[in-house]
Amino acid sequence: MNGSWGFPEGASAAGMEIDRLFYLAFWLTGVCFLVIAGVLIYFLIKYRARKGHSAYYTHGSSKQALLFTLALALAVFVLIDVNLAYHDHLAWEKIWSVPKDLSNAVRVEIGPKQFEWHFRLAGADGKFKTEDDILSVNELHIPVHTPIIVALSSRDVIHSFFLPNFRIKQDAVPGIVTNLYFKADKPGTYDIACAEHCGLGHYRMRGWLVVESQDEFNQWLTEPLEETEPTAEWGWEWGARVV
Amino acid sequence: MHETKSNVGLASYIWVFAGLIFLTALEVLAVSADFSKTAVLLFLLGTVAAKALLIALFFMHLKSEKWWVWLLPALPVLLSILFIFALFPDIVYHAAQTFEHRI
Amino acid sequence: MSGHGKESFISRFVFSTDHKVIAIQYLITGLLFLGFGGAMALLMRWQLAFPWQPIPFIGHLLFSSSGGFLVPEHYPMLFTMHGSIMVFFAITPILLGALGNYSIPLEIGAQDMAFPRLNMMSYGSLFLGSVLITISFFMPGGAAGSGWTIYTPLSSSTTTSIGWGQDLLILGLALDGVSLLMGGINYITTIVKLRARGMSLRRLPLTTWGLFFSAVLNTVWLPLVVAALIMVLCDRRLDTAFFTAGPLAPRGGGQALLYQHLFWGFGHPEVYILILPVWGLVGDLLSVFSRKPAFGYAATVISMSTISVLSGVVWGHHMFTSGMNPLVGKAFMFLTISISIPTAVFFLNWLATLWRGSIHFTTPMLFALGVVFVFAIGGLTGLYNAVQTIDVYIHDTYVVVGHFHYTLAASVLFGAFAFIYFWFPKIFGREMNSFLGKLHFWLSLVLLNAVFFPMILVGLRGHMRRIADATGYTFLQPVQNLNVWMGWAALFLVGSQLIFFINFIVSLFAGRKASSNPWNAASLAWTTSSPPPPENFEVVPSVYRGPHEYSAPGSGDRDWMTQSERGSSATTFAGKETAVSVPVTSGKLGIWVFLVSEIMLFTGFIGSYIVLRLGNPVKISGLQVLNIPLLAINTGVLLTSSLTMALSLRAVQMRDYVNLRRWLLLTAGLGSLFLMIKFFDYLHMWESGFTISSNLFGSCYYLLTGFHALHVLSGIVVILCLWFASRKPAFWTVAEGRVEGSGLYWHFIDIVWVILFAVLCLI
Repeated sequence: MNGSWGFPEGASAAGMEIDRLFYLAFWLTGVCFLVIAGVLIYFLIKYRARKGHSAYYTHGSSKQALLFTLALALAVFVLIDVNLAYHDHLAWEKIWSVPKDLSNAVRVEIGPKQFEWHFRLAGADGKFKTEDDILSVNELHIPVHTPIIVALSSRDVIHSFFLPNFRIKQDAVPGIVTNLYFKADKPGTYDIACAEHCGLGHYRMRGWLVVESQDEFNQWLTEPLEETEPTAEWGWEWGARVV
Repeated sequence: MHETKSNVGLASYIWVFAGLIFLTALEVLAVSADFSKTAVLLFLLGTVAAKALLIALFFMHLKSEKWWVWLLPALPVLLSILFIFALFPDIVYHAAQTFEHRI
Repeated sequence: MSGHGKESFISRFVFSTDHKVIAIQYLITGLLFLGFGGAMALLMRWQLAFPWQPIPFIGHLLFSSSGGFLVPEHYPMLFTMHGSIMVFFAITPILLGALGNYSIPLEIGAQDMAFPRLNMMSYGSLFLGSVLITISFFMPGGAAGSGWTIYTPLSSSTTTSIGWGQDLLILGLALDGVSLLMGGINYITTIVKLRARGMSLRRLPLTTWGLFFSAVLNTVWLPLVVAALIMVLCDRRLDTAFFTAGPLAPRGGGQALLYQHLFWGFGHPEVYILILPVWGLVGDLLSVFSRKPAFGYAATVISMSTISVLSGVVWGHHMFTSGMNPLVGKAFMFLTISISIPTAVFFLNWLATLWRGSIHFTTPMLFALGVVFVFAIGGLTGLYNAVQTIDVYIHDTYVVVGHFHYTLAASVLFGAFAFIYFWFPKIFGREMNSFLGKLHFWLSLVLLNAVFFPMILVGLRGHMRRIADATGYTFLQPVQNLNVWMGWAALFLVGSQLIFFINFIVSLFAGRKASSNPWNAASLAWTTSSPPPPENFEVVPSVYRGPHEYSAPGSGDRDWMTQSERGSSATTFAGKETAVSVPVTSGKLGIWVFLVSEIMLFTGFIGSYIVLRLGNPVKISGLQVLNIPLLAINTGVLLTSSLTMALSLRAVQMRDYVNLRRWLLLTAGLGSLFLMIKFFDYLHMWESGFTISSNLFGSCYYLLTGFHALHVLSGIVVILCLWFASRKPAFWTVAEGRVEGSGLYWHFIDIVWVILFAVLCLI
């Protein structure tokens, strides 16, 4: 399935923006490295100490040197710094902004604890902390092509909800609620990993994200799940800021 | 060997001390009276700055030191104020929003 | 410090105040912990390559209870202690402690540091810290397992971080912090005040500049993390909740993110603290071994200072996914990537130094060139992490680990080796073996890349960091073979360091005797013998030119001119040997530098209080719980003590030693009265239920005023020592400086109370 060493299989169009941004950064840095290494090796060979060859005395404080330095600084600023900042801005808008159309968005609450992922969806009444909430541990199903709004808050230490195939992560911090938005464009089963050291079980805090069609998702919603814990045990009010 | 003559005389020390006590008394009066919180806050910021400057300029003799000695405390103080303000978006404002959502 | 009679081993080598001996103490400590940290890295790479398999040969020795293999509790301890030890007990002692202590006085033409006894205490503090962290491994519950970053609430709650290992790590780091602050005061004061005649700032070697900026950054930013760690200790042992929130803080807590801001506020400048001396050293070494001046000396120094300033405003790039405000994140991103500009200037100047030079490939030169190469990779990979949107994916993956190992374990480590190979002849009077040195270099260069480059690859795949076993994840299965590759490469890399250790130890006893200037270098250190006499120079040098006068036309049959030789008057690059004068005493400068770090320490505490209070929905005011009239009286007491302290200085300036003693005693008395009133006030409030763990306000109140009280107590001790010493006439010659310095500290403590009284009690 995921054969090579490269990026894991992409499951969202927004995530691919990150891949593109990385390749831009990679080419820029790659060229810089080749120039530096190339010049370095060339100089080491050409200017190695040998008989009859002496060094050229200069402090590099001439006007030409200063102009060259300023030109280099400007080039780095424009070609690398401004360039990357601009493309980052474009990519950021695509990935982190609140989705425009939220009419069919699915809201998920994630309350990770050492060392498992607890998910909750609102159920048919659309309200959280009611009897018909869907509770699940370590396995989350979502419908494909649907905006997903995630609210995270940890129940003990800091964890981080990481979806490698979607190229996103967000820390879950105790005492505050953090948010994440994404959309799956390809059905499949994807890994969920914890990306913030949370104790001795951090390495095995693994979950599964199942992306399926709307019908299969509705089917999953109606399946009886194992009793996890009473609905009132955790969760929060979805305030205005989180739509 | 002293390279800076102490040009702070006894009279100055006494006056500075009197000023410090006076400002302290004003502070206590200001909170006992019925002024608005913002007014009290601004007033206290003023008195604290005044007291700190009095101590620094006269007791610590900054007044008779070269200008670059002033940089040694001034730069960290500036840095501190900036650092504290940098904490506001996350610690003051984010918290205010999130406590509505507490478990 | 010279011309002693019979000195015991203890006073010559253990409690020495000679900067050269202290430097060697730092070097040995650092090298021991370097080995220790490297061994831990091997265990980690074994675990990642072959999870839960018994470790060959040594497994049963180390992990006998489990049957010779790691159990889940061990892995976090390994990466935590590996990181903390490498940063604070290996690299810092070697580069800041050893290179700084040894080179600074010699390179500026001084006989010793400005404060030799402080220097000795600085090493002592590090030594104590290293004892504590060594003990931490043997505590029940084991060593700390929170990561070197000690994120809360994992670290601040005793339910998630059990045992005393975590506390000992924090205390060990605090002692190391104290050591660094003392060192910073020494380095800054020495470089400003003790330069020889003619050693203007434009003639300082670049190594000295790097150490200077490093010391400044340390003085300013280290106190923030000291404040944060003290608050973590309070959370752990005093039932406060500064950084613990959510369900782990049942009475309503503070904020976990505050810790991250405080930690990285120091943590980011820290990495520049580690690499600035290396940048300076590389600049000097490339010049020595290309036999031409360092290109663009002024531009290099300006770049170093720019990066030093920028390093303090970019810390948020460690927190892009933390829940931080994304607009603030954008600002941090832009500031971070702009560091690429001064860095590019470095590379330009390094390469231009080599250009048209006459390059000699000695061992130190190879390592300096190695720094240029690996730092190119390290610095460029930093750009991936700096771009906020990319970082959302690669944060907490091995891309980060690869990046910082290229910049630390490759660049900074190579800098440390360059330092040792270059300075060994000067320090020990013997030469290291050149063939073994070059072999060490080539093996290290190749194997470093073999270990750290795959980290970037697996990180791009999404391999998280700090996980003990990656084989449970489908998406990581294709890269597990890279983990195996890295395991083998790490084994050979650590093994090849044995070549260095053997070379080092054997050369100490059997190396060829070194001349005073085996490298034909031009800076002042190389004009004296190897090793130098106790007072460093037979004749105090005067300086006539910069440190890089190689291949200058008219320099005669040698291709270099040292900084202190007169040379022919026809040379146009000889300067004046004017005296260096800085119109403030060393003592006063030292105290002011100390006060800079104290300002930042109280910023950590008071700033935390301000934002915690403003962000807390539970509103408690000091006016409700505190005894304001009593506190106001106490304020008056402390202000009066400032007056008496000022009067004691006035007395000493008028040579009136009777009144000096009177005013000093009165100051100490008023200070003690302040403390007594405070103590009774605490007692009363505690008994009526307002304790340090009652609520967030209580925690802040007792922490801030308690710390202030500790400072008052220290001040009283100092003043009583002065009073005691002032009985003897011998004291009167140094009285003014000592009283003035103590007075500055005392008045500062008074200012802190002025702020606390208003901000804590009255609002």
